[in-house]
Amino acid sequence: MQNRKNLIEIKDLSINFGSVHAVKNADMTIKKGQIMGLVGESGSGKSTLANAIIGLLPHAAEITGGTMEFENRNLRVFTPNQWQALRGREVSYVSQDPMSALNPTLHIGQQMLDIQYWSDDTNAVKLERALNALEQVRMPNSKSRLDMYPYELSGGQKQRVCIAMAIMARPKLLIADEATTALDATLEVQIVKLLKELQSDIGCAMLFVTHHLTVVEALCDDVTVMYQGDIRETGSVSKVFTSPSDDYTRNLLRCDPARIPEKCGRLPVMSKPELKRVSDPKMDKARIDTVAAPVLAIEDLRVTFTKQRSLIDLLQGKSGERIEAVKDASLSVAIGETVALVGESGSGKSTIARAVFRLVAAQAGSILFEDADLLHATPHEMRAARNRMSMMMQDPIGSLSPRTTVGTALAEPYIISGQSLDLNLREETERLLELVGLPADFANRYPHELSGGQARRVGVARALALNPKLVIADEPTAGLDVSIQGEVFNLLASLREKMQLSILIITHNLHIVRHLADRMAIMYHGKIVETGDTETIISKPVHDYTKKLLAANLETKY
Amino acid sequence: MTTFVVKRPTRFARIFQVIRELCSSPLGTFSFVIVLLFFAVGITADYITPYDPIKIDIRNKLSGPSWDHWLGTDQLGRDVFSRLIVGTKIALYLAVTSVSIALVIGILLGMIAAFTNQWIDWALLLVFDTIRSFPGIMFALTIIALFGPSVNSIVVIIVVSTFPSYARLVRTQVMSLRNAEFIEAQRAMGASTSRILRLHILPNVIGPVLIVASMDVPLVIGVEAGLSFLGLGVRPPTPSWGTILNDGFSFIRNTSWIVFAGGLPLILTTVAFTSLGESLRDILDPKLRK
Repeated sequence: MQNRKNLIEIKDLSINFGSVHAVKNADMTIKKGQIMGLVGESGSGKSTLANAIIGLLPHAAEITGGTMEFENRNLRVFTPNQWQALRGREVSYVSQDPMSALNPTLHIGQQMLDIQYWSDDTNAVKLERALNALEQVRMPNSKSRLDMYPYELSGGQKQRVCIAMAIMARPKLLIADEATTALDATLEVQIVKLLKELQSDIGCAMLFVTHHLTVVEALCDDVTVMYQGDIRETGSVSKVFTSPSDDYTRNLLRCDPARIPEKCGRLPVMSKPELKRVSDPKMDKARIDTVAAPVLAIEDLRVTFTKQRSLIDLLQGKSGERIEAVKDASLSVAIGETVALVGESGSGKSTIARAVFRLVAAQAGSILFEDADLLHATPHEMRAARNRMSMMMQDPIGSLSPRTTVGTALAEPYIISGQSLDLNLREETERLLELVGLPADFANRYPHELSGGQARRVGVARALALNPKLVIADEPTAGLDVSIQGEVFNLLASLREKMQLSILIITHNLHIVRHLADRMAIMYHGKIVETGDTETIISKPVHDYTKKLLAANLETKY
Repeated sequence: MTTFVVKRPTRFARIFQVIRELCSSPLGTFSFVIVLLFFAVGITADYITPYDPIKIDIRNKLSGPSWDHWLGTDQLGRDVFSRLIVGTKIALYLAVTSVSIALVIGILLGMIAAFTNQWIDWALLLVFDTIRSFPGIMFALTIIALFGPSVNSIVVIIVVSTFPSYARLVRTQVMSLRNAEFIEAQRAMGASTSRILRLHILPNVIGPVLIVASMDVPLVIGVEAGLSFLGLGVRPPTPSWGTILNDGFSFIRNTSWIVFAGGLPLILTTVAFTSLGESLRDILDPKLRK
């Protein structure tokens, strides 16, 4: 590897956004055929650096110093035409979100033709090339895909199309910016495998930008760690992961839940690694009340969605197409217990949560919460039940109303439940903010002024406002950096100890489940295929899908 | 109790900030000043007219601009400048009442269409589209035939013919928000539909609707001027921009001055309100910010 030629050579590069130094004196070399991982938390400048290499920095960004060379050509003096010649042909790019990277109004074949603007070949040759590329990314039935629109493909298939488009020109460098972040664990592992195979087929170099350490480990040869615009460490994956020389890298590795084999009661966080505490089985047992009736008991729940009929269908008396989202699912959560509901997206796990809150109607089965039968509850009973259970939505910022302040959002549970008259709302809001470790002046902020982690804390605070018995948390750690994942985890763990809270956590992050959940249920195609103690399921999975899911969560090597 | 440290800009300060941004471009400044003038003149019309707008002075008829009569006099010797000022009052009254009534009806029906069941949605859409497809001039003539020409007939005509556009705009906006996660979170907490609509949907849809409304103001003034020009709007001797134009048109062979005087405020307010709406949209919509 040492004697390969340098493809990209960046020296002392600095990029500013106004007065913000996004990248500070960065050095990076990518050799021909090398897979380089670029790791850092959100806001560390990793995407800015990647965008600089293809000349796609936003207007507000300014390169203030340093050199940037691609095969000994100085990229800093490139004209727009030169950039255009470089992009797509020599360097190509796969973006984070496959859903929005494709034009929804054109079929795949057309889009794959259009992107070959650099070639003078006939359309037949271009189509042939597109088909080859689709085959290369192991797209099933690749020929028929050319006539399909993006909405007809699944998320993983769309990402394959994006990758196929990126490799058609046989680029020398492929930049993948969080290319697997939006995908499920099972899809992620497939895409990573695919990228690795492609790299050996085509021999292109790859810059893989991610915050997911395990992906880097599985895919990359070398890794560069960035923190607040600084490149902290660079080296081979095996060296950086086994003996990191930088404190930040060391911390990052230490705080990754995937890298902590023993079950933890508290996870270490970046600012306080000493927080880590191995969980005590005795204490876990004491927390759960197995004698009393479970706080939530779902029996044979069935949820069917009927697709909306058009007026013509209605007049013809056609019934709408039915989709069975949840099929005879049974699940219970004991007092003080944490249960994880695990499955890939579209498996119906969120639908169960929404059925509990009657956000969707269930067709059959029963949901017992404490003593109330939620499926047949009167509005009055439902209101009483809603005061004793709460839900944390998936998107931390999107679940807060954009035009209300945090303070107002936190006062809402009291107002809606009709308890606002007996309480000093401002004191309650401050109590909640303190509970989740946010300063009191956050009450004045709007959702868009919060970071993902802070918004998540506000979501936790709102969920806990009325001292509920049960919290249903939908993907509480999705999209958060490793260190913030740890903080949210610790928050939930400490609150359940304090308040004898039962938690139903819906996620596909198995590492969080492993540390947090007492029991887990695996969901697949609307059915719960396996339930049991977390440790038992992880060590001895029975159902085939469980085995596949566990295997898909990339193993850590170092 | 701890005091809140972060000071939010008050509503007043926010308005001030928008005005400052508005005035940063020449077109924005122009439209803001004209609109402000329109409101100021309209409100104070009765106190600032130099002459009685309906006082006839035949000896002085059709005189050109002079120090005594800035914009001259009409065929009955009435001061055109005073008549324009009082006409502004009528234009303002029409613009404010008809646009706000249409807005309220449009927002309510739009939210009902988007938030209730499919059948009501279809029924309301049918109503909106029927009204929109009905020829405007026929409708206007029918209303005037039924209720007689008056300012309030014009209000009815404008309200009925413009509220469907607001309703449709609101409906689409609400529908795109209806399944947003923060609305779902509200429902999970047990918030009532009216609470969700009032506190969480309305603030998020009102911006674009208000901007469309500000662009509709010149349309309203134009409808009044048009109907009055045809003799179907404001009855003489009450002056309105349309009647002034009509008078000027009749005597255009004697003097072309009155047509210009009557047309100028119409053109100015049209341009000003339209560009104000556009500038406000650019300022308030973060996506259009450069």
